[in-house]
Amino acid sequence: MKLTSKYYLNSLRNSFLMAFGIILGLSLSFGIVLRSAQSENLDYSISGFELTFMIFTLVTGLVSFRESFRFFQQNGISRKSQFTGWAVSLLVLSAVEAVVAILSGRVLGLFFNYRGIFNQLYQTLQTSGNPALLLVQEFLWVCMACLVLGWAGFSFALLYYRLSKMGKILVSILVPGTLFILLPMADQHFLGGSYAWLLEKAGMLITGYLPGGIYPMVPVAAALVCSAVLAVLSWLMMRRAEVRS
Amino acid sequence: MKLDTALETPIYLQIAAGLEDGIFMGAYPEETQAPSTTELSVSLQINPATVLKGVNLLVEEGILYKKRGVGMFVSKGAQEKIREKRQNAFYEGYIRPLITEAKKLGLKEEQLLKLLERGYQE
Amino acid sequence: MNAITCTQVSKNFGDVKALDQVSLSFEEGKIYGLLGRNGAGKTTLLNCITGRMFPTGGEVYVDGETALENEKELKKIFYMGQQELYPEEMTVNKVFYWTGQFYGGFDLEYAQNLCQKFGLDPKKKTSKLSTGYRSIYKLITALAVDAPYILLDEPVLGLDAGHREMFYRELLENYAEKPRTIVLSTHLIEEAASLLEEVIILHNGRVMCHKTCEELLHSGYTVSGKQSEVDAFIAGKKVLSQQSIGGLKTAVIYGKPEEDMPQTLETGRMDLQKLFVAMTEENGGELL
Repeated sequence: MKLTSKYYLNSLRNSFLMAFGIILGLSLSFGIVLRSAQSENLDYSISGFELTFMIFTLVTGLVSFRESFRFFQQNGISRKSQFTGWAVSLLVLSAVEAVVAILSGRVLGLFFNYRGIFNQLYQTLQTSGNPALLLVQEFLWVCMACLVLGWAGFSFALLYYRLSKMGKILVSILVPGTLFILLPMADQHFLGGSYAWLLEKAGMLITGYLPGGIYPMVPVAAALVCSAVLAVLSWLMMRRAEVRS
Repeated sequence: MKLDTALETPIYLQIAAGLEDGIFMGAYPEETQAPSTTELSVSLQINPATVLKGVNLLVEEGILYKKRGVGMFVSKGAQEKIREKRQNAFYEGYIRPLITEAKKLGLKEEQLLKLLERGYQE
Repeated sequence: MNAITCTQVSKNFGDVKALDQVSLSFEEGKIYGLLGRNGAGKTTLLNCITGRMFPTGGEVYVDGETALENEKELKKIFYMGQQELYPEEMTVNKVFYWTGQFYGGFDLEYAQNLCQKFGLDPKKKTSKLSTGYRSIYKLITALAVDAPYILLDEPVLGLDAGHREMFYRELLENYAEKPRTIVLSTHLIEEAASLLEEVIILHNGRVMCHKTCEELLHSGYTVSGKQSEVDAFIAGKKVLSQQSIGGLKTAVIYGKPEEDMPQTLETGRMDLQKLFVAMTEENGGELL
């Protein structure tokens, strides 16, 4: 497991640094352009590290399975070690991403009007809350968001790997078709808006905007539960995965 | 040493014969080290187990002996042993069929001896 | 006795029985030839042994322990397959590095030496190599790794004659220095025949024959001579193959040469490749 994590983190390092470099460059140039163009009545703000890292983690999850699986099989590594190695690596990656995103945001905040995604979503809490507690919450929020996306990418890649050609086509058509066409249409005609209601509630849960108030730790807990479910599903699919030609 | 995989003689016998030839002709003098199994295996591209089988044949006959940790050595008196062995084989392999064939051809002992004499003189 | 042992290993792909109750052992310190035509099940067998695939039935043991998902045992096997399992972006040097990490005891100096001998630039990415060199870097990895069981699937694929000979030489030198189990799986056997100690022939997913190479080569012989005489001689014998050029005929016969062989016929040793082809032809297996 130690070795498999080492391999995963090793292969992630370069692409992570690249993603970080790109978003840093973009933020800086946007910041400079916007600040120099600033007039009295133009309010600007920049952000983006968290979102970039979340997408990066999703993509990492998507591309991490097949290549590493084959490589580990070549080297006589059990599927169990591969799985635990990935789980540890993803957790480390998510934590590093959260720290880097928060730190970069704070540093950029010294020069520009930088506002991270957490600050934007929970602006109302910023004035009233305890700053130390907020920092911990921000870390957990970004970290868990990355984690759950990483697991989503990984389990989706595994699903694709395990499915036959026919299965792949079916999933590719049916899943988006159901979610974005069939259900909204059915909602309009038969379900009487209950699908839209469900989406709204899900959205509220994801952000933590609940009827009783704003709770940023609710999405953190939700992400943790989702990650656990996806991890279990991934393991079930990985347990019997074979090298195919 | 030349091996011929097309021959019916098994490879290990060919190896034994090749080594024996080398010893008999003095290429590997007595009390010196004989080529190692590894050397033979690599240079002839033959499985070491096969080579070993051939070498062991010569060990059994007392032509080679093992020095622990050093390797195979040619025994003292190996050449003489090989000569003896080959002389015996000569009788079985050449003289016996010669006489059988001579009898078939109706040659008498004196006639055959005359022919042998002629062979030596030519 | 330490060994890789398969007991009644089967593997089905849908309705196709790729392996049908294969039982065999690869014992410690021997060089094996795993022969079989394309589709005989060689690669599937090796995949099942190394856990890249799950057998549908049966069990694989390494040194007496179940091998499936057992890292301690799997680390004893290095399997060079025909498939490219290394990441495309990985350089040969990195392959050496990680093999050392995973297996331990990788002889990097030896590997570098071999690269030089074969004219392989280890700084290159594996995906940028030609077919021949793609075999070569994996062969070098297999030779330099410290594992007691080395499985090589079609090891000389794409290698030219010079490189093939070089490989056999290096293999024997390596084996002499560090005897271990080496399995050469191939359908082109003649040039490797003298390297082998034992031969296992797979046919249609079953073990058709498992003998020492010497035994197998002596299970038949060739006769050649005038067509009419050869025809007369082979009548009523188990003929594996026959071939005539002009008035001359050569036949491969299963069994031992007889004492009363006509003097005008010449006998010879069987050619492993021919024997193998004859045996794996339709109904060929009934001969054994």
